[in-house]
Amino acid sequence: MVNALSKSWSLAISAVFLSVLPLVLPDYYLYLATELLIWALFALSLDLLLGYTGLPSFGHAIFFGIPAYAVGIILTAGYPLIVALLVAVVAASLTGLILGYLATRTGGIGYIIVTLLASFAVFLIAFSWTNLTGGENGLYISRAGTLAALSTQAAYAIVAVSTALIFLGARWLVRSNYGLLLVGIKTNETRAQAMGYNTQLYKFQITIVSAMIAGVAGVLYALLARSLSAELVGPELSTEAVIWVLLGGTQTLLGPMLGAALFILIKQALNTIRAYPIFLGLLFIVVVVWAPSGLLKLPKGLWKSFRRRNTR
Amino acid sequence: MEIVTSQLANGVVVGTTIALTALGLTLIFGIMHIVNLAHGEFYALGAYFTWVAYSLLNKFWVSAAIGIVATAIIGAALLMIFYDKLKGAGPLRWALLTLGFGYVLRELMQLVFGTDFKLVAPPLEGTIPWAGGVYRIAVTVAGLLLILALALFLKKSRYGVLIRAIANNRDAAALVGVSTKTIYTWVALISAGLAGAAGAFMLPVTSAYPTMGLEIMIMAFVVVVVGGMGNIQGALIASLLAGLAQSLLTLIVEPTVATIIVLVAFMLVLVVRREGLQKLW
Repeated sequence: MVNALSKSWSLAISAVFLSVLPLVLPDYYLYLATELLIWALFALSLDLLLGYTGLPSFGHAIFFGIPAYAVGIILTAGYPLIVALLVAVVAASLTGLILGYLATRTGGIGYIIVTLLASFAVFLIAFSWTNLTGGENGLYISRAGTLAALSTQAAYAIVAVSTALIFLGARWLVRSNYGLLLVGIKTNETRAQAMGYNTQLYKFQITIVSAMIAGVAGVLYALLARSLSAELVGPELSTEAVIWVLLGGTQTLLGPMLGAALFILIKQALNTIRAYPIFLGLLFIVVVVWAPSGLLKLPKGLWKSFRRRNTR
Repeated sequence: MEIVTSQLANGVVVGTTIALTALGLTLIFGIMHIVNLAHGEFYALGAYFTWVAYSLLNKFWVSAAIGIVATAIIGAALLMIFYDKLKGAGPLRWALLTLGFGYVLRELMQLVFGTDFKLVAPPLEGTIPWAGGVYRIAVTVAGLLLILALALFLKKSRYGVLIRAIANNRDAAALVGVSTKTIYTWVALISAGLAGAAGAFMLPVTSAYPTMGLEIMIMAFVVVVVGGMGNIQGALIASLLAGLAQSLLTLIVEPTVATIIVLVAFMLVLVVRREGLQKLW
């Protein structure tokens, strides 16, 4: 199933699927699909770190939320979109540099805790710095010049094309020798070092690449949803994203993207129930205990046991 | 001047609370290699169970003991229930599993107890000039005694030796016939119990509310990392430092800003010294 998915025909199906959507879906659902694509892009960026390089980032929302806030703050201050985008790029690279440096300073479990704490610290700052971020009330970006000013179809097209291009780029990256090296670092860092590779440098680089992709997702989100809150940099989104990646199956790129979409849909369906965090928590437990390698690999496992029974 | 000394005394109380919570965290990390993201909720459970027992019995210290034991049992049950299923799983899956437990526990507490503050009057009346309430001092002493007892238990008792043996070399310990699962259950009981004790002790000071666990857990994680993961002495000193820094900073800035400053300062320590503060003492 996973091998099949990474074959080119599945790309063709995905492409056809994405281009048919705006023709058949009514506006509301097309908007939802646009948002799902943005979250899928965010999940893809985390898969590069978590799935391919084995860096379990529990603070990935920082890379999403800070560029989103950068765009929002600059646009609200009255500067044109191009300035806002430039500032967002700078913000994304700076956060990537800082957290990339942290990644090289701590390993394994330390990395989980440090990134989680970083996400919490940034959340507290965004929440209490009311003059800059709107604090508790959030930040609202006015409509003009954002994706929301375009038709739903045009906004969808922009997001879908960016997501598709970045996906192809990431796919090329992980299939290159560079991608193999990343997996090598994940499986046996000591051996990669012994072979003469500067593994810290590669971890640092992939963190910045991942931060940039997450930043693109964050900027698209800011321009589409136009309302930003401190949750976008916080530990809740950070940890949820890890579950998306796990749910879809790590180290598959397409899996985490589907995982993100599936999770958001489940969450929206449960959102109306009063105690929905309980269901969220139960979902975490179910995924971790019974589907640790992702739902995408579940059919493969079932197919294997089916074939074994038939050939017997 | 008195406001400074009473804030200092308050810092020691907060520091002791963080220390009790952090020791449970560092113990379970050092021995079972689990990042327990539900640990803060054990702290909240300790406070709520004590509140329930207190409203039935009206005796604080007995209620606190009941709260601590109940938290220890529920906490250990949660940690051990999927232990066999997650054998050999990395830290990532454990972190996510305990995160899920945390979500469920926090929401359940909110459903059962509501979002209002559950108050209990301090069992000891009176204040001491320059230092604050008698109860706070009693709690600090009780907390430090508990920590001392834990240290002695780990050092001298048979179970303590077994726990340290497993921490030192799990396979060798299993080879000579130590039942790792039994020891892990004990460690989980002690770990959850310590968090429950911190929550029970703080009930008359801060009262019980649903997000109390989240707040203490962040500080506990900070001191565990800075004190050197799995290092009890380091966690203790880092806890007192964090409590004092936070209490003194609230004299100048808002509590949230104080938390941010402590968080960022401790993370800078990590960047400068990868192993935290542990080799400084």
